[in-house]
Parts: sequence; structure tokens; C-alpha cells
Amino acid sequence: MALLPIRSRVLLFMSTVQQANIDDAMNALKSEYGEEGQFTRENFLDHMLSLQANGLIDEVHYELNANGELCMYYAINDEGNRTINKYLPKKWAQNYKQVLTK
Amino acid sequence: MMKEAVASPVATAAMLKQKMNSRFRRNGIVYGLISGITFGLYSTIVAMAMMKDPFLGVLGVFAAPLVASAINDTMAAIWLVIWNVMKGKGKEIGRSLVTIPGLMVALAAVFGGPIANGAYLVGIALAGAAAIPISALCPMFGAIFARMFLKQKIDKRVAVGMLICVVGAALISYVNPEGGAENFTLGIIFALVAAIGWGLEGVFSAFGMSMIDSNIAITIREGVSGIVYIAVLLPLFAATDLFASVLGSVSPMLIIAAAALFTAISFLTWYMANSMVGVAVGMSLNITYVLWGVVFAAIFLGESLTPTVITGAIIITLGALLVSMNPMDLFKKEA
Repeated sequence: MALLPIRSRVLLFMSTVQQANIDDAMNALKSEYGEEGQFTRENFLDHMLSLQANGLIDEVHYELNANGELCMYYAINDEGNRTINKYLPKKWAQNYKQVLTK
Repeated sequence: MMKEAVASPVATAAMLKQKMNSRFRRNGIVYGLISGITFGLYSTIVAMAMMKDPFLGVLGVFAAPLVASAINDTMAAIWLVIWNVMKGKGKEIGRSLVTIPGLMVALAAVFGGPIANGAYLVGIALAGAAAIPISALCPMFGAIFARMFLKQKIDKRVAVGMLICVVGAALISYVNPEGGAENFTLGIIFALVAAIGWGLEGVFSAFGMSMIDSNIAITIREGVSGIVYIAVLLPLFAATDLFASVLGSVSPMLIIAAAALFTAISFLTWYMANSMVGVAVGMSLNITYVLWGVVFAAIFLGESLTPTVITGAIIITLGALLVSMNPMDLFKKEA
């Protein structure tokens, strides 16, 4: 099946979890996008920060990880969920829910 | 007195976080400024290309700028496709185009490219240079639409700074209207259409980019704009012959290729700024291109700097500063 644009896919992933950090998102999407050159931490940070700047996800808390790096946790908000329902192809949301319930 | 040498993990995290936040914002502002500077460079370089042969002595007001825009946008799209493939984002282009956000970016391209730019050229032809300051109202429309559609709030400082930028841009580009311009009002209406078109572009693209990568969004923008120019506007304004003859001439094509590179950088950084610091701030910094355009034209084309232009330049700079930072911060000591 054709893949979603990765930024939309990150938002869709955020709608399936309570909260997540960049590593969570990368682990979840690795099987789909892992082979592509764009699959980098830097790009994922950019996706998260842009989703946040556009008011679709919120930062819930942050901490230092084991490597002493800053690690932010994000959660989707109402606007983010509304955006997914309104603008993502329906089959995507459905497919994903099926995967989850399997 | 020595301060505590080792901060607690919580304090370190807070510090790193604050550092990251301010870096994100600073980068957004720098991108906005780069978008203004490179758009000024683009304008100057295109002006140089239009002094070259197939463009010289072209009859009609619209053909030359339309042909230049068509080639410029198409080439910018080619530059951007190369850039994205290098960054491992090649596949994203097709993926993004079949989604609603991707289509909104394409729509933004039509508003900002052929519609706004076309209206801008017609406006100048009908109302003379008076159309240029009217078109500089675009950040205001952008901010208003962003408020309406994206629920982006504009604080008073940004609103005042934006207004100052618009006044400065208007002053720089304003030339006394030559008497007897027929259809003056119609020309002004076209200029307003241009401002609204660019304002809509800012908002649609910001929205589309919340769901797709800004690098991809801008590639779609330039590609769609180039195609609509070539397929619709050039035939409409009987400019296809000139288009063909420019394509065959090496020297203007090379110059436009360079201009297109700056266009690509300009739009890339503008879209990034819009999605990082909001449409109002992004557009206000972008509009400083009027100032840079004048500076580069003075340096490279030997155009003169009048007192009005210098005053306008100072006003625009102050406005852009006010949009990007709170002047009070200058007096506050960092803790």
C-alpha cells in the first residue's frame, strides 16, 4: 500500500498513543519508512516541532534521557484529532485501527 | 562568589529546553530574513535577465515578466526536486500530492503564483507603480486569514510591527503616479487581488505544511506554479513565442537558472519560517525583500537611492525588528 507523507503519518501515530517521544515515533514507523534517507532523528524532531508549532500536538513533559540528552514527550490534542479525521484518507485511519486491534 | 558548578538534572533539562526553544524561534526568524534577502536577490537577477536579448524590445507589458516567472518557477522546482532526492525525500513528493494537505499546497501555489503574480503585473500595467505598495498589504491579509482559518493569534506587538513593515514597503516602492493612467481603479483592484492571493498562499501553505514536510510543500508550490504559468497564462497572454525563444537562448537562461536557485531558497526558508514562528512574523520578515531588492538594485544595477527609499528602508527594518523581538528584552538582563 502507498505510504502517507511522513509528517501526516507521525500525526496519525500520535493519535494512537497517550504520549510519545521521538524514539517512540521512530520505532513505530521504522518498518514503513526505515529504509529511506529521510528517516533521521533530526527530521523527526523537525516533524514534532512543526506539528507542535501548528497546534496539532502539545508537549506534555521533558526530561534528560540516559545519555544526558533532552527528551520531549508529546501528546495529540483535539485540533490534531480533528485534523486527522477531516483531512486524512479514511482508509488510513481504519487500516491503522485494524492493525492495532489485531 | 562561585555559583553552583553542577546543576541538578531537572535544572539542566529546563536549561537545555529553554535553549532549544529559543534556538527554534531564532532559526525561524533567521529563515524569514533569509527568505527576504534571497527574494531581493532573485528580483534583481531577473531584472538583469530581462535586459538580455530575447526579452529586449518585446511588445506588450505582460509577456516578458510572465515568461520570466514561468521559467523561473519551473527551474526552481527542478532545483528543489534535486535537493529533496539528495535528502532522501524524493518519494514524499508523490505521496504528498495525493493527500488533501498536498492539494491545499497546490491550491496555495495557484493563488500565490499565477493568480497573485498575474494580478500584480496587470495591476502595475493599469495603475502604474501605485499598484506596488497596495500589493505590499499581503502580510496583513495573511495575518487576517491566519487568524480566521488557523486560529493563530496575533499579539499587539506583532500587529504594530507588521503595520510598520507595510508602511515602509509602501514608501519604498511608491512612485508618484503619472497622471492620466486609465483604469487606475481597476489596477488598484488587481493589486488588491494580488495582496489577497499572497495572503491566502501564506495561510494555505502553512496549513498544508502542518501535515507535510515544508521542503516537499515548496517543491509542489513551485512545480504547480510553473505548470499553470506555462499551460494557462502564457497562451492567455500570447507569450508562448517569447517563451520558446528564451528557452533557446543561453545567456538569459543561465541568469534565470541562478535567479531560480535564489527563488528556491527564498520560498523554502519562507515556508519554514511560516511554520516555525507563525504566518504573521514569517510574512513580515519576508516582505523585507522590498528593502533588499532596493539595496541590491543600487549595488548591481546602479539604481539610485532616494531619501524616500532610505526612509522606507529604515522604517521596514524597525518594523521587522519589532515583529521578531520584544524591544523590552533588550533592557532585561538574562537571568
